[in-house]
Amino acid sequence: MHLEVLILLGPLVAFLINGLFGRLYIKNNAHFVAIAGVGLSWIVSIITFFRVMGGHSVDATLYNWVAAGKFNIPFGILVDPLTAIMLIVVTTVSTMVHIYSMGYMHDDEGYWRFFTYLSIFTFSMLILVMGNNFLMLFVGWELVGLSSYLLIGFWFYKKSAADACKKAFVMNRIGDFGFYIGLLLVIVTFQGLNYSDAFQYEAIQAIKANTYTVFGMQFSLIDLMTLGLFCGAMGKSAQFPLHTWLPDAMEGPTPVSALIHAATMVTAGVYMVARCNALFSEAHITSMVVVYVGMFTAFLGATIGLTQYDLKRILAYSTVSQLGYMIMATGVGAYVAGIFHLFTHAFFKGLLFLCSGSVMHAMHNDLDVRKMGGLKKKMPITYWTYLVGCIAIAGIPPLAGFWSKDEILAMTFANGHMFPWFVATVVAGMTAFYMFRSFFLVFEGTPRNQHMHDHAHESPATMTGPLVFLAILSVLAGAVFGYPLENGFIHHFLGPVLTPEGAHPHHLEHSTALMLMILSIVVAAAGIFISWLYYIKVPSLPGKTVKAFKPVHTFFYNKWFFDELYDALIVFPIVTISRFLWRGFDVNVIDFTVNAFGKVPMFIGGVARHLQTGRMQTYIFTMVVGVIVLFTIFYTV
Amino acid sequence: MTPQLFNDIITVYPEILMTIFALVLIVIDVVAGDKMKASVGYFGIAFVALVALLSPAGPFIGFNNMLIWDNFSYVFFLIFAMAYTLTTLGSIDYLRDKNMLKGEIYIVMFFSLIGMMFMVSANDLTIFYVGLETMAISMYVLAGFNKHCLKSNEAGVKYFLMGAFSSGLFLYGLTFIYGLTGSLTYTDIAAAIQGNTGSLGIKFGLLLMLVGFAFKISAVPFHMWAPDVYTGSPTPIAGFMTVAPKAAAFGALIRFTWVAIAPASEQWTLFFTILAVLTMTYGNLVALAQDNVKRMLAYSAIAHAGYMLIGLVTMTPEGFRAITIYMLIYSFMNIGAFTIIGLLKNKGMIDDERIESFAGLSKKNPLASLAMLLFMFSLAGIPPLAGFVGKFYIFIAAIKAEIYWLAIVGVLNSALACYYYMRVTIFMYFKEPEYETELTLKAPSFVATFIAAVLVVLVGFFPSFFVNLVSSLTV
Repeated sequence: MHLEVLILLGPLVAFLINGLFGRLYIKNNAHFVAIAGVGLSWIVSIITFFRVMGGHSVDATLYNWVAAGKFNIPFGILVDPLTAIMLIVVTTVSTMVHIYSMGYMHDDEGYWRFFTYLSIFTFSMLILVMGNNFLMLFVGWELVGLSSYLLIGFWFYKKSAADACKKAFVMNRIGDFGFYIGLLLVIVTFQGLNYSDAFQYEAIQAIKANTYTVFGMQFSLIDLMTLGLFCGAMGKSAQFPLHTWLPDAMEGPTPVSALIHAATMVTAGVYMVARCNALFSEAHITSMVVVYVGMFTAFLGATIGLTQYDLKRILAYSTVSQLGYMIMATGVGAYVAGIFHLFTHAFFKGLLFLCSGSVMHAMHNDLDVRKMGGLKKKMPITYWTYLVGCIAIAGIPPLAGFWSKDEILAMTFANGHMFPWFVATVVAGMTAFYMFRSFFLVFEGTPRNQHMHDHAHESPATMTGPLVFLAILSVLAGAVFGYPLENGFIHHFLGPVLTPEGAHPHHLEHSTALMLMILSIVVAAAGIFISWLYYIKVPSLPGKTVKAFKPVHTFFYNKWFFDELYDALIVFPIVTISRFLWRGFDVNVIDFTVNAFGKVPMFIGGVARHLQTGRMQTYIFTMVVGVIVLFTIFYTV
Repeated sequence: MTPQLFNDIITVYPEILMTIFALVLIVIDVVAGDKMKASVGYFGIAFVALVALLSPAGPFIGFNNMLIWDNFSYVFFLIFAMAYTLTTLGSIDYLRDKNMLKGEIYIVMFFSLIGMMFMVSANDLTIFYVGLETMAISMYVLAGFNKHCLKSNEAGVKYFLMGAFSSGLFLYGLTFIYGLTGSLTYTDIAAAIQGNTGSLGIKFGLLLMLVGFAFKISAVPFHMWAPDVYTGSPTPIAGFMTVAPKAAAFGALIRFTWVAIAPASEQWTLFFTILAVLTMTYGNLVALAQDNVKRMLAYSAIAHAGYMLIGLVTMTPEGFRAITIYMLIYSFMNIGAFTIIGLLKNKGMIDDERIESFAGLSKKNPLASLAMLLFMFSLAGIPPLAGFVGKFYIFIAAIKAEIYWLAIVGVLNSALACYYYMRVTIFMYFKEPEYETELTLKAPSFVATFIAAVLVVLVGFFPSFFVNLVSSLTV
């Protein structure tokens, strides 16, 4: 028995207990069970992390789940440095979110239900990162999809929430379709489900030469399977063109946004690509696709983030943008940098989301930044922690975001992707700008809505506690793990698992690295400065700028019209055709036929029941006739 | 004691045990106070369990080839024992409510079991006939057990008159066979009709005898008694009557066809085919039109006999084994359903058994509704429940015997049947109650329902255990 199994069991048991007994018996004490479950996972994860540091690793089959002839599906776990890092991320943020939810969801009717869903979500995510084969990955992948659906639609009686969870599910399904194909290709090619079967250098080299022509283009087999897998990552990690679900998913409770849309579910795609680095590093076409999809998503998210007024949407688009960074990093082969950014981002973005929840709490669920302002005095803890989050994400040293983001930029530069590097640097400036824009609008200046301002108050300790804890991590996580650049703790820790065999990592000259570092600090500082200029110093500037760039602003403000485009191109035609099939074909043709098949036996039955007269004479007569007819048949045959 | 005599006694030993226990039951009934009559039933259950444990492992053939005790007899005895146990447990609350909890009901039922055992173990028409009448007369009594109810009286009388008529037909056929073959033992009959299958007399005699069997398994067109009798009898007893006598008749019929008329078996496939198709189709069609759930299950019992007849059409050991497993499964799922119907009480202006009584039951009695849902789904043959396993083996037997069209007819009929079974669940789960209904599962009926429901699920998930029970059966 492995100690790591406890990590899985904690949330699972909590889910079962709350799910079975929550409604009737546990009710408002559900958090005890859930926090005990996730707390156990957290503690064991930390222990596991230190054990892995000491060279411990597990790759074991716990039991054989399905045995059909020669085909086996094992239920196995894998614990290596990558898993250890992911475990820390998932359980830390999840524990913080659990504690925070005690305060945030306090008066909600579905209190027990919320904690039940949180537990199953955490369990699913842990399955995803702990599996040792592709099927476990897939099971976790789908479970995460399901539980996020439940959480986003937690207030299902709100139409917007119900629509949002549906949208998230459908968008993910589209990505998952590619993911299935990728998985099947992997399984068929390597004749096995285990990672250890698929990631063997010799096996990959052996099939490298297989190429196929699809739509007139030459693809290698590895390209095809990784493209398929990457489709799944695009869905889960909200990459263009499947990014539209993430901002809508903000309809869920804010702790959910922090948990799912900052730290865990959306990082599944990045984790998967990093886990499959042995495949992705050999797939050159896919790598290019990954880099440019990541770059474009980063840019897209940032441009939309510039213009939004809803605090949570700003954070959501910022998440889209940051996920683009991570994906781009995996595309250029800097897997460690990608996972490192995932690691730091989880803390500061989780922090920012939880802060936004705290603000929301104070402002009676209103999130329009135009109505806020001057909250600094009213909510000091939220103010300071949000500031830490903003500095971290903007990339100012020595806070966490700087180290990981700078490394992504540097590695992109080092690997010769000049254009993506340039775009990403610009995006870094934009990020600093719009994050501080939200900060200034919410906390600085004078209140814009005096009534709401008067009622604002700091949140309870259950909510501010996690904020402070995550703020500390946002300050420290980068420097402790990532210093010095390319040679820090995390590089030695993750290097062995995330350096594909046969890869030739590029390294930068020390002076070039320093130049880039200074450049990125300057860009971030410039972003913050402009933001200060716009929203504190000269508050009339934003209006003028919007007027000057009216079409561009409209375009960005409406999220590049992606929703409208999808509606017109996909949703509308499908709905129209379906409506015709339903009203025209199904009702008139199929239902009619089926009903006819039903009506005829009913009619015969209705007639035949009258044979049963209840009179003995009829019964005996029937018997005699039966005998005579049967005998006649036998006589003649 | 000569070895011969010893062998004979061993052969009839389970029946002897049963008879002794039956007499003990009478004594218990006399001793037990008026409030303790249920104990007669409990003792009955203990006794059948004892016999099941103490029965020797066969095969033994005794009394000049007239009686056989082998695994086939034993498996059928288990079916009867199961039917007895579940019916007894399920009937105690019902009978107590109707103020007719008397010891004799369990004694008569116990005696009917002895008759059934003789029917299945018989290798001789005399023995068979005595067993048949022992069973039948007990059944007449049970059908009319509710003396103050007109319908129950009607059921008893009708069953008796029709039964007498069918016995007449059977005996008439039997005289032909005896006259033409000179023997009543199955093996001798088989030897005698070998090479003489074309004889009109033998054809006529066998036809009449098979009609007698067909009457007992309620095959169309000899089924007319069944709906009236099942509807009129006390509900748990009706459950017993749809299962145990039918199982006995099938057991005996299998032995008779497989041993006695094997040389002429090809001729008789046509007979069974006609009966199977008519029985399935007629039972299902008329069940569709019923609004009374008890009556609907009466017709469905006819339809199930039709499915089982497919096993006879195949004339293969697989077919017979499929019938046995089907009968086993049918026994507990049907008795389970009847138990619940028996306990359902309606305070409105309609019969207790009307389908409307089930409306909204799921909210008031979630457990009982769940059990009923399981029974209905299982009867409809929906995987992974037990009923599916039974149907699966029946249809597989037909397919292996290359009678594809009959399997198709059977499957189509199952599809028809889904409608009326599902209707009950729809009423239970999706309709609002119009009348106030009441359903209380007390300890005995709860146990009966629980056992039946658990078996329905278990057989579905672990069919191999139950199938292995019959897989090596030979007649």
